[in-house]
Amino acid sequence: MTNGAEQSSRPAILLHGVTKRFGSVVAVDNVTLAVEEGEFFSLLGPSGCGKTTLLRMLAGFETPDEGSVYLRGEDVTLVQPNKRATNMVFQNYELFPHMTVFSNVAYGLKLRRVPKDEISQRVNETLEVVGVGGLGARAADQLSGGQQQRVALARALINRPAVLLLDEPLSALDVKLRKRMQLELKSIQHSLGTTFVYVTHDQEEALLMSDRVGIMNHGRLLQIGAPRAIYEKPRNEFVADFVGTLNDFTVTVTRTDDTLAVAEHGNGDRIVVMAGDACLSGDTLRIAVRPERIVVSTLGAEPDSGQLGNRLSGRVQDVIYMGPITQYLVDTGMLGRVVSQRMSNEEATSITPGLEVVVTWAVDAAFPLSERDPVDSSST
Amino acid sequence: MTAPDWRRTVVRLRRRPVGSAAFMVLVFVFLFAPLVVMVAFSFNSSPRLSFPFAGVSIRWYQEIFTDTLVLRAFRRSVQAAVVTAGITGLLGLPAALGILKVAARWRTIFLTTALGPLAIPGLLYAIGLAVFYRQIGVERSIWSANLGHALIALPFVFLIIGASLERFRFGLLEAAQDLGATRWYAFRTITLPLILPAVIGAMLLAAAISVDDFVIAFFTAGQDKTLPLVMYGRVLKGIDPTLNAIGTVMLILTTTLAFMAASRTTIGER
Repeated sequence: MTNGAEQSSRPAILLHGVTKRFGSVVAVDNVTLAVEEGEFFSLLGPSGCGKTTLLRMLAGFETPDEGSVYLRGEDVTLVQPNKRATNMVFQNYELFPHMTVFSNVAYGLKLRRVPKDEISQRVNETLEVVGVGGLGARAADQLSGGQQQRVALARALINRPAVLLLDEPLSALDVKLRKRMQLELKSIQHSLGTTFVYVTHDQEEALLMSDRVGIMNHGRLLQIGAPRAIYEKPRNEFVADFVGTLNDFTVTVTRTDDTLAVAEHGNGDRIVVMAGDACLSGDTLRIAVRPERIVVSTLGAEPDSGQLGNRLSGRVQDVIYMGPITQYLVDTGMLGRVVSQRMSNEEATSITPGLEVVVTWAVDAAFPLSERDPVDSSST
Repeated sequence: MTAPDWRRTVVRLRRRPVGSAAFMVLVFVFLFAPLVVMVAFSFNSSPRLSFPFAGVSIRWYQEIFTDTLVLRAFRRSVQAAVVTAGITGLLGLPAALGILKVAARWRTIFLTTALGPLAIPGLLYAIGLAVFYRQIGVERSIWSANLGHALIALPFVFLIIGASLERFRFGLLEAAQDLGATRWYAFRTITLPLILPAVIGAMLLAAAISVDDFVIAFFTAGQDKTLPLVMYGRVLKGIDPTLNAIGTVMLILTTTLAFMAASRTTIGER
């Protein structure tokens, strides 16, 4: 791990077969993961999925029962938190309440015996970077939530960690501030080039900020990928469901046409799936479509998709106005309720509850739901 | 239609808790009348303990502050207070910190055992100590009384420091450690400054308990009489006006300590 060739390509973080148990509960289950230098990596999952435990093992607060943790190529599995080149932004910030903002941020530098002049210069610089310049003399317990968050960030960043660990740092902020901080955090990360490992349960946040996202459930890392890949090509049902709303259909193929499988339900309703040539008439397929890919049209006004387009007729159950978008719930009878999300525009106002409509979507908008999460098959 | 003003006044008056206010005044009179009488008579120029006052004077104070017996007892009481505060602080803080490391199911047993003495009458402790000292051949003195005071005050100190640690956010120590601090450095820079008000408050309370104590000193101090013992000696010879003066001095001392202790510990709560 020390020769030059490997040094240039070694990841900032490498977890290898890491498992952590608390009693009989497996909090983290055989996770292998590499995070590249300079990457913004998010661990996304529901509460209790093991993402925070994983983060705490990176920080050194927990020791893995199995497997190893490497930091820039160095095995740190058994290294204490105070000897690791990682710093953490805690969920509730953990600012030292009896100190000023300045002393909080300077804490790490003082420990490393950085000269006084340099400390004060770097503290002021860092406070400026995170947008709380001039608050140095303020007592730490006299800050607003947003300011505390920024100071906590400064306190960690000032030590120039190899990896910055963030444990749901925005969860205590109100929506508006959170949205702003998401963009700011992203831009701070971008300009400093520090590797971020960011734990969150908010899928929107993860997709919006990250270079890559790892989805966790029941201690296992289910899928790692760029936000777009995670959202559009989820590898299993849990991932698909967790990173967005899902319309899923279970259909029986009535005929195949080249690479397309068609499931017809009489009265012109059909679902067309790109299934490859292995698919035969009579097979059962499960597919899913994101709500924003589904178009709801009034009878007769639907886009003409020929004989090989999706088409389901139904009745509008409810129209939910959510500002920029409007959500339609359409009862399609046998195939259940379909959720559609469209931009709120003039055209959309013509669709009202009780109306007979046609639901359509492009064939390539659907993705197969074949691989079930073996642990969590009950949660859907 | 709005209600006439006189109706509003009646309703408002009815809502005033006149009865309970009067009752509270009675309770306060009951609580403080003896002290008020004592303080008042300590300034009475006549040695007779009856109204009306002959005049205001500080002759009883002059008398006690020139009385070597009283002065020596006063010094002993102060010494006992300081030593008790010191011992209980030195034992109580590590004990309260240590109990946090004990597994949850043992903690309850430890806590109950440590706080049990609060329910045991001081007299039993006093007799027990006296017997114990005799058995191990310790001469009774102010020092043996000090130890007894520390013994009865320790559960309070342990309780107060323990309560402040209960509210302590241990995540702060993780944050310190994450920034490079050793456990000891984190304790010195984070834990100690944050719980210090409670520790000092607890020690002040221990001092107040020591100053206040009669029964432990009676059985274990031997010839080294503390202020309460000197007062008791005088009461045996009949109520003496100097008693009022000594009592007033003690009142000021103990209430000051208690107030300081209370304000410290509430600041500690944050």
